[in-house]
Amino acid sequence: MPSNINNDQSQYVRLPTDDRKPIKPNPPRWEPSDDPDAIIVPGLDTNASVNDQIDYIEQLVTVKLQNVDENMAKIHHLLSSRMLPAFKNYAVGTEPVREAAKFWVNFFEKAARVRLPIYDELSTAQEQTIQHDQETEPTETETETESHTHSEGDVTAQPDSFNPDRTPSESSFMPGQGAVSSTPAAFSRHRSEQEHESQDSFASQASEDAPWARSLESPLVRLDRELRSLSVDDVPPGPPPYGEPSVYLEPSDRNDHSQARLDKGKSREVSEPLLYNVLRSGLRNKNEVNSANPPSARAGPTSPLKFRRKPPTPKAFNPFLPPQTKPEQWNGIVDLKKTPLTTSRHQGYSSGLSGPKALEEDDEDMYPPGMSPLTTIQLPTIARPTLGRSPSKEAAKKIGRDLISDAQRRGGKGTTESSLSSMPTPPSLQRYTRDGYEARRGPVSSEVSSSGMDTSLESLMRRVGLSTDYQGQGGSTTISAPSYVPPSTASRPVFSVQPLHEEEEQYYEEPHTPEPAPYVQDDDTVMQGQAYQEDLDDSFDSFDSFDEPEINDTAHPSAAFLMASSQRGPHDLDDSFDDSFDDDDGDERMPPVIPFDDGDDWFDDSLDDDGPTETIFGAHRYQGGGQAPMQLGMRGEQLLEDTVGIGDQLARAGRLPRSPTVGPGVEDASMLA
Amino acid sequence: TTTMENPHAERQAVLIERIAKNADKCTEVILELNHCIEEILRANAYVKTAADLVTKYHKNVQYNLEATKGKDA
Repeated sequence: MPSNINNDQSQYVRLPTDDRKPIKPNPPRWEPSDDPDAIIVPGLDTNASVNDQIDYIEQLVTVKLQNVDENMAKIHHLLSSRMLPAFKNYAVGTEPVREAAKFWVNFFEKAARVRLPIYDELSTAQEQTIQHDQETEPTETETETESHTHSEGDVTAQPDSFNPDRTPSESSFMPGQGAVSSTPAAFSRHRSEQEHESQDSFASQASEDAPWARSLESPLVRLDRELRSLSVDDVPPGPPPYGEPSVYLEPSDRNDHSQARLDKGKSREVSEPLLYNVLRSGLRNKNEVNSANPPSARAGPTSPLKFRRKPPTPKAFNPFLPPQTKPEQWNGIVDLKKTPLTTSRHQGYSSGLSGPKALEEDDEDMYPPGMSPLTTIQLPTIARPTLGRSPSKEAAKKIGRDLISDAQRRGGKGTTESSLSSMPTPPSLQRYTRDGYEARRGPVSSEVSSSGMDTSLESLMRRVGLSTDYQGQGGSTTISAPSYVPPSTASRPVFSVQPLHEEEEQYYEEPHTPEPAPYVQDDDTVMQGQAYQEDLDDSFDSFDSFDEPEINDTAHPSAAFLMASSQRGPHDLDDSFDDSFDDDDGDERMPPVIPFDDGDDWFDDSLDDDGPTETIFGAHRYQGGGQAPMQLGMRGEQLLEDTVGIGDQLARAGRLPRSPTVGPGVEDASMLA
Repeated sequence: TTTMENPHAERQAVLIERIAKNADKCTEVILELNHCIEEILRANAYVKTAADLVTKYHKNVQYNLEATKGKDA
């Protein structure tokens, strides 16, 4: 098989250079001769005693056995140590290719609304088709294919998608394939194969070689071959040249179809003949069609390909022919705006009716020749629900659902970031992400606050204590049931004001931690190296232990909360812990509500509620008055300001912090941008 | 009573035993390999289908483009 593949696709695939040693051909096999006298054993001393010779021979035998054993061991070793891993690596390596192929196959399937049977489906298809009735046809091909299908059936198959609306026989009912081959197409195909010495695809070659190889070829190749074979015998109608599989299209003669067009519309190859048959029921040979043409979704075993016989309507009757063109010259392109039914009235018709009468009997008589009366056709339908759902729509729905579930889940447990984006967030944005926040909490929690923070801690605690009042229901619950202390939350300037219980749980513990050190941007930078993914993916615990040694004096949640005023920016970047932020509070007090884009929740603890008198920035900071409940702002606004204008704000606030990353050029809050 | 061939036979029997054992292991490995290859094969068939689809699509599109172009011109 591999050689077949290579032969077929040599123009696409470059074989790797084979620099292995050429394998020595086997030494000629030793054929035991029947006549003992004629046996020649090299090295045997024929003059020695018989017993000695026997011994010698025995030794030779032993040595040979040893060699055999050694070879077997070598084989086994080679196989298991080099071959198997190689194959497994190959499989793993080509996994993305597989996924892509699967995606595109689905794409085409949905586009054409056909279910493409894949290798695995053949075996199941076989079993089903075999049960169906067969048209009277030579059974030789049938038995031949049946024997082939048995081997295919051995393969354990898991069909990818089973479309219950379409019988398997339709798609896999390929003549010459496992499908029961009582079709003229199969017959003709065999004939054509015998005549043309098989086709191009390796699969067709393989089909003669091994039974299982039959299943190697894609169903489209089979279809293709089949069509070509049919075209040899008679002119198949083929799919209409224009884009949509319109119901109305009357597949009239298409003698000058090119091969490419035969294949156009993978589904139409299957459904068109059906339509063709139904529409032509009036003109076709009754015995052929009526007996074997169940309308629409054929429950029966008949293949639509069965009906690809000579076109019932002669070329001249082609309703789509532009006037004054010879039927042979028709290139198949039709202006859909003018359909035969609509134009025929204007052109006048040889229906034998006079003008007014013709109008009356429009519907019945004004048919262009070759077109049967309109009938309600039961087209083969696939699962209707899938029609309207393009993969993109479904993806959008899925994304929406994910977002919603994320929001809900975040409320519930905020341990894992269920972000749709798999990209790691840059440090500047990490504070906005829940996971990063959580991740940072761990190591910091163990830190001891420096002395300087005591005051702020007290104030913070007071604040928190007070804040709980403001928090009301939310605060009390959160304080009572915090999951753990997120020391690093201080680094997060962003938080939402709304006291969501769930969200507060984890963050709210902060006030209780004895480490009100301001959050240092170290966290971010330090954690950068650790792979953002950890923030997003690891659980808090794992990250905790991981990070511990690295983060030293990170800020503590309280500070972050204190950032109700959202002075967070500067503090985040502060290298050293310093109280100064109390005083340095920028004049620009950002609205306390710092919404999260992804909705959350971080700190709801509301730093906002420092209470009218107490803030980490000092008492009576909020001279503005009872702004205890921070004004609610647009959720994204804060973030926007944060990210977009943070540099300006910081500059205005006069607190361009020193970036924790020591290095030339890193001076301002550019990291935030 | 032991015969003369015993030492040989015995040694050979041991060797044969080893050979059989190795052969068994090899068989198992080869079976695993087969499964591996089979899966790859399955996947490859899928890929081939996809490739065929794309090729056909391309051919059809090309044809139609030319046809349309010819018609317009």
